[in-house]
Amino acid sequence: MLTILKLGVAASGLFCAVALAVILLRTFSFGRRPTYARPHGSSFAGVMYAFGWGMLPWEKESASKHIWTYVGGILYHLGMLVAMLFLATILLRISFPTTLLYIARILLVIGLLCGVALLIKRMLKPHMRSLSSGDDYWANILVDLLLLLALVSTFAEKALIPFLILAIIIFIYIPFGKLRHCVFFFYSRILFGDFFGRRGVLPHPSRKV
Amino acid sequence: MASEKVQKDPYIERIRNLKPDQLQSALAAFKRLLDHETVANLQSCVNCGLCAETCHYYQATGELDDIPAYKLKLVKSLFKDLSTVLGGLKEKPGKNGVLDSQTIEKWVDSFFGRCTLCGRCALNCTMGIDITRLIRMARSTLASIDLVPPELQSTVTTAVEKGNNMGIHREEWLDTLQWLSEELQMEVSDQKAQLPVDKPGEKLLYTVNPREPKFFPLSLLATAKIFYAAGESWTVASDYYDVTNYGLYSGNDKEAVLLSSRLRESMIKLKAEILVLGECGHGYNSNRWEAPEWMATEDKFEVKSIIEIIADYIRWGLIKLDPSRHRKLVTLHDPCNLVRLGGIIEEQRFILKNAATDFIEMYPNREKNFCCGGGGGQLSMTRYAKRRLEAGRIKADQIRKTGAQIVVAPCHNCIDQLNELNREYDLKVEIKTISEVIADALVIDKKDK
Repeated sequence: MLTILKLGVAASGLFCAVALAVILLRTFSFGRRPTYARPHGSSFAGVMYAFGWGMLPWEKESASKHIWTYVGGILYHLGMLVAMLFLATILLRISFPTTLLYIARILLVIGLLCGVALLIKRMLKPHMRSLSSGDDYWANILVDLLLLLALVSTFAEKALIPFLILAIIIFIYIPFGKLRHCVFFFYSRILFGDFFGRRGVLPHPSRKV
Repeated sequence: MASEKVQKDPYIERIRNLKPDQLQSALAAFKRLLDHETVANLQSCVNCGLCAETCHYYQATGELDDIPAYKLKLVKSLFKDLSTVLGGLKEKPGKNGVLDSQTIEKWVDSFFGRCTLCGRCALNCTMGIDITRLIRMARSTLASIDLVPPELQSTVTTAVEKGNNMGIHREEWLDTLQWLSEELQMEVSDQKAQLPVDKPGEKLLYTVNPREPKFFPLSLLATAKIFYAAGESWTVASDYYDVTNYGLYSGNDKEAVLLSSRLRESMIKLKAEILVLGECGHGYNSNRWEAPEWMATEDKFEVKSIIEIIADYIRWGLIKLDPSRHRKLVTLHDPCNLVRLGGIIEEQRFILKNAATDFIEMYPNREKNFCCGGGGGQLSMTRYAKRRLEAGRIKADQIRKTGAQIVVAPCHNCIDQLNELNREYDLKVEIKTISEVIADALVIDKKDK
């Protein structure tokens, strides 16, 4: 059973990668407008900023004014990364060293709590409710469950079956819902860095790369 | 607030009576406007809602409609309706096609009535989505079926038909320049001083916001005085001198191209080296950054803001300033199109620190500054005036907190809005352009001249 599920995870993972690649190629196919205005700053420095300093909370009002949401979001994504690494160790039959396992459990618990907190925030705040679609809730619930099952699986092997089934569902879901931001986040941040970098707005002159 | 519409407004009636073929045209225009950047941006929003407080409209009203993500959702809905699950475009929109008269009315209200295209949400978006560009794309979609609010469109049409957005006749412009030349001669005690017109082969071609010759001629005189003091080689054109380009705001790229290409024509005709853009935020953004993209041509000459030119004069010792002439506390408003979207950030600070004894920053500032509320064509769209003034409260609060007596704004659009905010919120401040401040602080050694 586990072997079949592992194959299923690998197949759905492959499907996810191919589907995301197709979506990316389709996006590229909309064409890129060449730029003609002479640059005032550096695109490269802008992109470096977008993934470096630009990610720090004090650089973005959206983060600094919502510091707990920002921290929660970071920890939630860290939890997801741990869950995915845990999944990889299962597929590749690598055993987790005990110390790392303890750290992983802590990160999964924290990530799960943050995920649930973000879900509650989305449900309770009227403006967030208005902004949200079913996809926003489902994506959150699926990932929360993944973190929960990953956590339980580190204690009880029996939980591996639902964990792997959920992993298959998530891999199939990723390309069709908001979870595709796992790819588009990088895409948008590159465009962001390129735009503000070329115009000499970011990084701020005092912090030029 | 939400129902700020005039009953039986012919514009609104036109929207409500849109025909299916017009909606199809809008859809076709929307599809044409998609490129990989807009599509990537449309697929990136996670509805985190953290952009809400970055918008001065939302800060002022607290209304859902003013949240940038909500505005973006309107565009996303249409894109979703048009796209396949794997990101391609459908031949026909979904069964419940979202683009109908009601949606268009909502679009107009959101994209024209609740946004100044200031870019603050884009700068602060956790994903990095260029919301400004998507909203302008939505405006372009509306422009494709002639649904630019008539007040904004009339500004563009005047510029297209008359050569400048105030409809100033050539004779009136030349008379003003002549009169200002005489004023300049008196001020600097030099009979040779003048505001040169159509002088070929000069280094700078200076372009102005037509509000200067129409309502604030002393502002133009101030710039002329700075050029005089620096011994600059410069000229203005007798025909195309309007730095503004409301095509940026209307979303009509054809008209935007026409307006910006005229300044290029003047450059070629007069064989100038540098196109100098007067104190106008959106004029800078459109002519420095957007025009080459609209026209798909690289400029063969430099395009600079007058702010950069003045900063260089000070750096190179070409002009002498006496900051003690400005003893009042001075603060600076950063126009969004010049700073956040234009990259001219430190020059104006350098200038003011040399021209005034007491300078104080408002907070937040530079690229993080709040829009005054007058951009995006809001000043011309009188139908949204109440909203504009309400949204401007954030800027008024920023100014009040500085305790400054003088607010400097290198943008005539901003100055108009700041003047209104000054009255509305009883700020009791003087509002000036950079050139006005510099001209007052200029030390002109008459013996040398």
